[in-house]
Order: sequence, then C-alpha cells, then structure tokens
Amino acid sequence: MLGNFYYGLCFTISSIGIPNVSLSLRSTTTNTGEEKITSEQASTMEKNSNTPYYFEYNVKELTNESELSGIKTPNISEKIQDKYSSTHKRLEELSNLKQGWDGYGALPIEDEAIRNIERVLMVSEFSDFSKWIIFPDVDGSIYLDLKSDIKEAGINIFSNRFSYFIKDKKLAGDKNINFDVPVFIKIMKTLGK
Amino acid sequence: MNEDIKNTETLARVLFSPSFFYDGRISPTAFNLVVIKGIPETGISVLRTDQKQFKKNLDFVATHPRLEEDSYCGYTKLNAEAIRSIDLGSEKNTEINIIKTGRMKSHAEITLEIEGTKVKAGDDSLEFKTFRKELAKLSKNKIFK
Repeated sequence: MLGNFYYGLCFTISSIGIPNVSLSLRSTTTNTGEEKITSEQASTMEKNSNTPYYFEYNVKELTNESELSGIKTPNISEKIQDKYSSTHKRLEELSNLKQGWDGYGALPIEDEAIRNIERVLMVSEFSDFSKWIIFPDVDGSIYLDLKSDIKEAGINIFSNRFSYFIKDKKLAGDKNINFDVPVFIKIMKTLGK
Repeated sequence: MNEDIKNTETLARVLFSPSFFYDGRISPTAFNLVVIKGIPETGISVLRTDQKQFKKNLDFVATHPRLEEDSYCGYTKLNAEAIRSIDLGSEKNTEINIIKTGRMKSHAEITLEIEGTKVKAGDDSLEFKTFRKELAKLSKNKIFK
C-alpha cells in the first residue's frame, strides 16, 4: 500500500467520488511571519488549539498530474518507491512485535501509532521523511531517529500524541503534543532542517 | 566519578532484539531502562570487556535471556570516558556515572542523575531521551557477536 502510496492516494480520492482533484498542504504563519518553530511555540501548540501555525488542505481541479506538486509527491522514481516500500515493510515488522520483544517486557507497538505514521507518509515530502529511521520503542510507541551528524533529534509517536527532543548545543523539546498530521509534519520538517 | 572503572575501559551493551538494528544504525531505544520483576532499573546494564570474566559473563547472559522467546543478537561497545563526557545540553544539573554492581564479575551500570535523582525505567524526560541517543551514537553502529 505504502509502496505505491501515490497511486493509492489517487485511488482513494477517486474511490470517494472526487476524480481529478489534488490535496495541497500549505503552511501559513501569522503575526511574526516566521516559519521556524521554537520549542516555546511547539509547547503552545500543545496547550492551545488556536495555534498561530496552521495548515489548510486545498482540494482543487486538476488540469494535469503535475499539480499534485502541492504535496510535492510527483516524480515518483524507483528509488522513492523503494523507500516507501521498505518503510511499509518496516511498519509491518513493527506491528508484529509481541510483548517482550526487547527481551525485557517491552509493549507491542500501538496499532494507532503505526497508522499515524502511515498518515504522515501519505502527505509528507519524501525528502523530509527520508531523514528519519523508524525504530520500535519499549513503551509501545514508534521512535523516529534523525540521521544527522550535527545535531541529535528524535520523535516518539503514540496513538494520540507525540513527543520530540532536539539537541543542537542546547536541549529542547516537548513531551506531550496531541497528534495532528500537519503539526507533526511541521515539527518533523523543522527538526530535520 | 567511580574511579574503579577506568576511562580507558570498553563497555558492552548486550542486544536481545534485531529490531534495535535497522538501516545500518543501532537504535537509541536499545539503551532503555527496563522493569525487571516489578522493579524499575536505575542503570543501563553493561559488561566490562576488559575484565577476565567478560567472555564467561557474556556467554551466560547470551544463553540465559530473561524471557523464553528472547534471542541474543550481539553486543555493542562503548568507551567509558566517552560516556562520562556526554553533554546533554540541558539546563538542569545532570550527572553520569558508571557503577560496578557485583551482580556478575564484569557487570556494571550506566546511571543518569537529573537534579540529584537517578533516572529510572519509564522516565520520558528529554534528558534521558537525549542520553540514550548519545549512547547509540557512541556505539558507532557496530554489533559484535
């Protein structure tokens, strides 16, 4: 499914009776005009649903497939398809882990946590997601580890929330953010920059 | 600092799940604290490779997993000085120690204290998440059998 997520997306859209449309993910800022999320702002997101950062899903007529660039998913090369295929395989592996998979009583990975990752994959840019490695965590969450030589960052995804940390000289992060795909992607992008 | 364990020593962290190694990397989650027999650990278990009993202790650990379905995957190496030198970047007071336990001749634990309190299993602080990430980094993503 994820290996062909682009086609899956088209199928899903057409299957719900909306042919020739695309989803456009757009970030918008207010007041400050800044795009970058600070840890304080991320905390605000957690506590206040009226976050200054918000996203809009635009559904618009398609004249050709290139307009899918709203979510930057076209040009599905074999490499990208392989990546999504391997990610899907990895998620399947994690979903099969049983209690105690770490040798010490770790919890099975939460089904909804896996679905949250799938939701992110559907709309995130390949270049963003390819910076992260997927691992299981003992508390039943999925841990995304940033591939970087200059800073340390990780994200834990649970069924209905996520947490993250980043150490770029100073340590920052948030332990409890309600899971929301656009907010998650925004933070994932910021951490991966 | 516990002077009994020298900075030059190499410590081994035994891995029991292949899920901790993926895409050429060792997961930070391989350095979690766990609850054993209802008691939360306060130190990350390691074996001291420079000790005479290391191989014997490693064989014992590898063949006596705590759960029946466990299987030994290998171990990764960390230098004691590098562990002690980890900078978590936190504004809180943190202290890293490597302590002999006596549980086995070559057994030791890596502990993290935040504001004077030892971190224990279940801790989800940013400091501990960063700590296990740093430990994974020190392993250089190499697994030994």
